[in-house]
Amino acid sequence: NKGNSEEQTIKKFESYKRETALPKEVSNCRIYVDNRADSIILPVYGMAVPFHISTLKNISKSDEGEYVYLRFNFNSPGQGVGKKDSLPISDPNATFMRSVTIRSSDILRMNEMYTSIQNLKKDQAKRETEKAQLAD
Amino acid sequence: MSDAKVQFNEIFLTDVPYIVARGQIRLGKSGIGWKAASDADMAAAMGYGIPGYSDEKGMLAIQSADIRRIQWQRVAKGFGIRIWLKDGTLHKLDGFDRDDYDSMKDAVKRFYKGITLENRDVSLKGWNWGKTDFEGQNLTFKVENKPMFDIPMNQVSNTNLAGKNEVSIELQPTRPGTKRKAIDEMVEVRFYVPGTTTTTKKPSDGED
Repeated sequence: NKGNSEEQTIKKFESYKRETALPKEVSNCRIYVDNRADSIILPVYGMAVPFHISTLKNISKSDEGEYVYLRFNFNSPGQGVGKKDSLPISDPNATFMRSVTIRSSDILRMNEMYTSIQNLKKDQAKRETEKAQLAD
Repeated sequence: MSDAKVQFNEIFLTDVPYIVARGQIRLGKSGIGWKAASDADMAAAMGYGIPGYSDEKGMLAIQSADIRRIQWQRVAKGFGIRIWLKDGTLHKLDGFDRDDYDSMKDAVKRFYKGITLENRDVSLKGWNWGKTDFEGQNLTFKVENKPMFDIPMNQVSNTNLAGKNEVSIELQPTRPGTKRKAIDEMVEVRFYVPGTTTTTKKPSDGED
């Protein structure tokens, strides 16, 4: 049954069930990597906004003058040919966040964030592959 | 007892993004007031033309009669209240504790006729798909009907149709020359917006 399998795909990941689970560190309104919850938390106008690592396609970094820019590219429709993605296609009218760019002059910390987010993404991709192999 | 004011300390006035203005908030029958805790906090909120804010006094004054709704929600700095005025102004105050909820709810009920402290339940699912919606001057991204984040329209410096089905929103940088610690600021967000004519086919996914 197609509907069921789609639903399962959608419900596969969730960053936090309740707000009490948000890490304390979000209070300083900076990017935070929560390995335990497989999530990155981005500051958006005073809110701590989690993105599950499964939504992240990749991250890129650019240095421009006194700032470092991190660009978070998320999985969204119409990207990447050939790669089978697990988009929540049950709602064809959904709007997707395709990318978010955050800049900071704290170069050292931004470099650390870049590395730890890449690591989290790699770990998650590895786990997914292992899971897929087990399922075969 | 009923005329007593209810006060909370260490509350941040966050009407303007990225400023750090700490102070006390007081709720009373006549309205809601926020006062900067120090000269530095006062200076931080100065010069932005925040409605109801006096640069000289370092005070924000909100009249009871002007209040339309008050919302309570999870924010980065603990909990925050969103005070919507009848003229559309939105005041944001962050830094409340979870435990402040009961006394806040009680104060709102006691002081402001017909107003109850609403719970704005935010989405923490970590999903990047949902719907965009306008709430007053905010562009709100909602996941399963719960707000995930808001973008104040007055922070938007440019928008672009960046591609087929892609909208980019550029956001104003912080005021130049503002003395600030290294902050993380969002400078751009891009949305995939599904076409209004082609909603049935999965895009370029090859075979099933």
